[in-house]
Amino acid sequence: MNKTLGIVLSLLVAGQVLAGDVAGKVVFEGTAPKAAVLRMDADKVCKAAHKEPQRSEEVVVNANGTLKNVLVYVKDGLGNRKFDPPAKKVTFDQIGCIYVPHVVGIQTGQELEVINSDPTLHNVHSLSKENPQFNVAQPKKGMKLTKKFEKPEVFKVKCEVHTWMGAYIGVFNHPFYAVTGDDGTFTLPKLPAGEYTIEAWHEKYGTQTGKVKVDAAGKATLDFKFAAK
Amino acid sequence: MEHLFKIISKPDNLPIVLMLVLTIFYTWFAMKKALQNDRQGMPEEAKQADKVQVWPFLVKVEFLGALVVMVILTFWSFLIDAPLEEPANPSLTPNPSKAPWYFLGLQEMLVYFDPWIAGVLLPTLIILGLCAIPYIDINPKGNGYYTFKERPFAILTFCFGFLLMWVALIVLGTFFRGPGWNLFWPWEYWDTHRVVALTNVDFTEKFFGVPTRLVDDSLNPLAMAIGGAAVVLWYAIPVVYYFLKRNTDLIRKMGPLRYGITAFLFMTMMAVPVKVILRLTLNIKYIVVTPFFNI
Amino acid sequence: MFKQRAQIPIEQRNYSTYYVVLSGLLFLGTMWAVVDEIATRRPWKHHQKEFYALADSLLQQRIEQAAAEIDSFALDEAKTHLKAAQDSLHGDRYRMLMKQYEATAEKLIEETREYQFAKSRGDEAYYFYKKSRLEGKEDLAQKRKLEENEAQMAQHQKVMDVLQAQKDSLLAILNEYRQNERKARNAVNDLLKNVEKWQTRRERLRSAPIEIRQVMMLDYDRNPFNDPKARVDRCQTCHLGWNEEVMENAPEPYKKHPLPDLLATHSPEKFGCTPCHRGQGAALTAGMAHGEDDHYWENPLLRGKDVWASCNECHENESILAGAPEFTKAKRLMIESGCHGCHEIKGYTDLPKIGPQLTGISFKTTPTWVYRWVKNPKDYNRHTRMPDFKLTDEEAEAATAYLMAVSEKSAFAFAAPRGAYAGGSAQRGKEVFETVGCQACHVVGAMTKVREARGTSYDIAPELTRVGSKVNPDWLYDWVRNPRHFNPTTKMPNLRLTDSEAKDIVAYLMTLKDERELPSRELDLASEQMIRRGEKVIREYGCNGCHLIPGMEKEGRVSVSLSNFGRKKVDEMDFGDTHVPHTWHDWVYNKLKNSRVFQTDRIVQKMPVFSFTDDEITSLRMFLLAQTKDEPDKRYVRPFDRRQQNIEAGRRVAMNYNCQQCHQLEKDGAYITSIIEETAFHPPIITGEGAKVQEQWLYGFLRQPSPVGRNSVRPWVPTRMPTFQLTEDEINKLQKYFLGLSGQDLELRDYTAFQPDPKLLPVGKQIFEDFQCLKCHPAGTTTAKPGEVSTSDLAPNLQLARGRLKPEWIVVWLADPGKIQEGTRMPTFFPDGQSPLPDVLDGDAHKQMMAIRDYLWTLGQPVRTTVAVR
Repeated sequence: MNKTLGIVLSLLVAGQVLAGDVAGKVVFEGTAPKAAVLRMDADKVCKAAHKEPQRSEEVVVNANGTLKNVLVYVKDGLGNRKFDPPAKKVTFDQIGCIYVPHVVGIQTGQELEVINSDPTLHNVHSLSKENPQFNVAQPKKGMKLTKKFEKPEVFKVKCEVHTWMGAYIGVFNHPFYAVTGDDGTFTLPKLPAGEYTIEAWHEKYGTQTGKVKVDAAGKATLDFKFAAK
Repeated sequence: MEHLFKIISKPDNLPIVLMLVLTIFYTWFAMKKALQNDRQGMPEEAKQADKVQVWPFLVKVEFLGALVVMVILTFWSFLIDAPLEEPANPSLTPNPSKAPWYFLGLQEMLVYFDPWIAGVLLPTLIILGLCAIPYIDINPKGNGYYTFKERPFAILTFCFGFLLMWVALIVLGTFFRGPGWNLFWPWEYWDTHRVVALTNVDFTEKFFGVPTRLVDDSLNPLAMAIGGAAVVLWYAIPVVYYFLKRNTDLIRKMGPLRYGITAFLFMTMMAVPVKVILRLTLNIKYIVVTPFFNI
Repeated sequence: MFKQRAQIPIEQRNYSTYYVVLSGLLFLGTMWAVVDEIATRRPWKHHQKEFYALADSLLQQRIEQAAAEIDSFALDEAKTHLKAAQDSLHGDRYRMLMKQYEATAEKLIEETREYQFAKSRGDEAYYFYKKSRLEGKEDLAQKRKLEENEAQMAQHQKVMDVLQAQKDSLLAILNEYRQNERKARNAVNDLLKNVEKWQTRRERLRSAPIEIRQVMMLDYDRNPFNDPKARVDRCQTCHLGWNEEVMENAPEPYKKHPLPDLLATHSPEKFGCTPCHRGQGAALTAGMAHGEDDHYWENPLLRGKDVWASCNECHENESILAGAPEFTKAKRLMIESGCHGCHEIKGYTDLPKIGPQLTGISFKTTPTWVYRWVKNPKDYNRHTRMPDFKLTDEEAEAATAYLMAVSEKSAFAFAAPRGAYAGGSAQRGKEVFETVGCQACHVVGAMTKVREARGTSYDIAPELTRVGSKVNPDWLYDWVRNPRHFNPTTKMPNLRLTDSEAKDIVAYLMTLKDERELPSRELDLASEQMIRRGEKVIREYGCNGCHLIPGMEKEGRVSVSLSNFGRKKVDEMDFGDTHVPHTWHDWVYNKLKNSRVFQTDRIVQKMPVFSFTDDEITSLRMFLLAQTKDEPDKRYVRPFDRRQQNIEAGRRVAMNYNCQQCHQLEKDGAYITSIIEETAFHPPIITGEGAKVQEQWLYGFLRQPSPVGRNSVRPWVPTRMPTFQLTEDEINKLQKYFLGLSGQDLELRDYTAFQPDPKLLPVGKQIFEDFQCLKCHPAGTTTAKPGEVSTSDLAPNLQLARGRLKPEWIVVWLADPGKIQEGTRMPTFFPDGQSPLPDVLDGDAHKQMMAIRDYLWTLGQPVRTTVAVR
């Protein structure tokens, strides 16, 4: 405890003096594929939750030509630094038979709270390889489940009851990750000075890597491009 | 040569090497003294009428000897661990299977003679012969001192019978008999797969063209007769000698019984190297083959 | 000097110098012995000192680490608490209370005594009073005395009650103080728990003596004369850290044993080390103890993979050992390569032949193909298990002639008329081929994933890449429809293909041609001389070891027994003209690499050439090293009892039919899953099948697996469980095998006799509805239209449960399905054993599961099986 506390403290101090943000956006090239409509006929509850037909979130291209739901994270360059998990829980909800958010990042040791906000049966089946798999049913609305992950990886989560439901969870042993949103940008805040390999991951288009140097001054930019297939 | 050295330097062969050295030393020492005595006459000590008591004068020295042996054995055991081999296994005999080193001369005989001759008859004759020595040796000279001139026959027979027939055969059996009891020269590697041509024939066939066995595998009486005659001729030599020299002092003193026993033992002893030489040089298998024994 | 000495009369000679010198030497010798004893010949003492020093420093690190991990704030706080609690124990108030308590207690004792006295006096008075009454005169004085004393007693009692109450309340307050202190102390201890654990360990090691650590196993061995012999094992004298947690990464010989699970059943405290590792247990220097410096030691240390060889000494009958995957692999390799066909191997003499029977080969293929095949099988199929016999052209021709000749005499006839195969679509055939499960065993072209998952250099069934150039389509049609029609002993199961599916598959497979240009050869097959020569060739090379060949059914094994091969001496091995180093290991390696390597112009060798990988060779070599007659005394061996025998018998049936190609069984197998991405489509894990399904159901299923479609257990799985056409005996063995794996024995159980608890039924129904089981499971005939996502595509029909599952298994399954069937779609409703319904049955998860099970039992009709269990 004393030791780790010391490390964290020294990192914090160092971070304040020598740290910068890496920011950028993820551009999508080519024509966006038409997203499939989700057929929710199998469960009346799901169907009733939506007035309009829902579309698959596999590829979501934003209005500004950027790609949503891309997980950007530091892949290499942090060395053996250790980071204490934040006390804040990550929320992972099931609303209207859709996972919200579709892609989520979490740190090792941090708590993930899986919530069922639907009045129907869901089950959360993790297809993790490094971490032990789990498959837990949540038959009632408002049920909560808390999980922690020990090893970094990106894995899929699915619901067997509703075959269209799928989401991805990225586990990292550091806090430097982000998921692109509706504007396709990301920020990895307060990276200690140094050279890093940054990776962008997309469920359909795979991964891309880029290198970036963060110096004492602060900001660095890095953009990624994914092309339609 | 390094193979021979490897075998000699094995801890279990150390006693043989020591024995060899001691045998040579004492033979040389005795002969040296004997020559000296023969030149200068009988030594003073032997003539002395004045003797000392065993206790304490001899025992003192003997105790010293015991101490020396003990010291040697103690230090020997520090330097060399007991040369143990794998546990005895009745289903797996070692190759070569060797008797304890002091019996290797007898084991060597097995190559040339039937087991019961080499293993029973010859050892029995050796023991009986050794027992008989005090009765057939009527020469009073050489008591308490070394001499050669006064007992040449006894010493030469000993040199032949013990040094050559016993010690030399032990050395041969230990250092030159390898896997399959095959003969290996010092510079040869002891190869388990060594193949030796088997081309021995019987004496009668070699020299008279008379095969030992007939076509129907029964013994050939003619071959038996020739072989038997050869053996009889061999033992007839001392008889002829007896008649030729019957008037000499020695033979008269010995008398026919003593002479007979001595001659039989001596001729038997001499027959062994004859057979060995015949086998090694002329590939003679047997001199005579009978339904009961083969020589 | 000696000359001078000789002049002195014997009586006057002085020997004291000699005595002094010799005594000195003897004394020196004694000293030398002592030094040897203490130091030079006792390297283990040095090792032990080094070990204790290393362990001490590592434990010190652990102690520091454990100390660093303690939350210092919490510890300080806890210590402050403890201090306060302890102080309060010595505080004025506590002392005052204690004094009060003691005073009260004292008073109570006094009062109690007074009470006792009064009672005693009263009893005496009562006696006299009663006596006087009996004697006819009433002694009133005594009566008064009695009453007086009774009054006193009542008074004392009152005081006593007050005092007792006082005492109790004081004690309660005192106890609270003490408890506070205890709690505070426990809190501190809890925080220091880890530190203390390591400290205790260190103290124990510090006080450990420098001594020989010896394990003695009485009567463990037998000497060559078959007398019992003890085994002495002193390995732990140097290998001190085998069970020391801190020695995980320590250097040898102090390292912790890497397989603690294995040691749990093979405790070195009982067995020592040499039963598994071999070596010279009694020796105390590394070279001698490992047996490698001792030329005459027959059991040197087993290094690397070879260490698994020793498993065989006790477990020779078992072909799968849970803790020894290398050993299991080697045995499987041996069995599948058919070593037992030509060599006698103890425990494996009754295995079936691994090759197909060669009775009607002319119906299947052409003489040219047979000729090329026997000449060089690897040319047609590199992954075949058939080894290369290096036959000459003439020998191959003769063998072909014989096989063709016996085939002509066969009574076989196609079930369908010739040409009936026509009309299939190759396109559809490919689809069927890729869905029903053919690929679990057969490779076609680049579809090699299953082969790679299996990881052997050979295939378990023929590769079909060139099958179109090999077989006759009439035969193929007959074969895929019912393989046992052509070959009653084949392992190929019946996939219950419809006629049109069979035609499609034939059409597809016949498109897979051998595109190579192959030299042709004019074959003389008819001549009597050639056929006779062929018979001789086949007999000499022992083809019947793997194949059933007419005319040679009773031939024995053509080669030597391997029963004691692991003990074969190098002197007994022929190295031919090679320069292979003269060791057992090198000989075996080279022999397995190329079995003809030691052939010379005089020594002819007939063992065919296999194409094992290096890894397979070293595995097989390990297996051969295990072939010894060494057998420990029975009391050290797990008894190969009835259940073990049943398990092994069934295991061999399962191995023979390659169940593991599709199913995970005993932690291995399921190779087909490498080509099925969706885990829900994977064939089930069947290790726990015995605990899961009813015996009657399993019997019926093994005889005739449920048909594909809506009525099967898992209608959504496209891969078919084939019909293996098992014999009653084989089914029986499999039943006992599965039951044995679950720790059960085959017994008749009437599952219709199971009665649901009527009290639980309504609750079960409620939970069933709350959990929305019907969201995935159908319970009855489904009504989904084709193309719609139907519940029957998600989970088994619950109406089947009653006739299929064991009631006790359902509860285990509900608790955590992922534990039984990894990757199953069935979620757990009771994560960490907690029920999500705290109001039902007091939130008792186990009771809730029983309620669900009982409710399930009311679904569907009871199934009365007509099939008897043998």
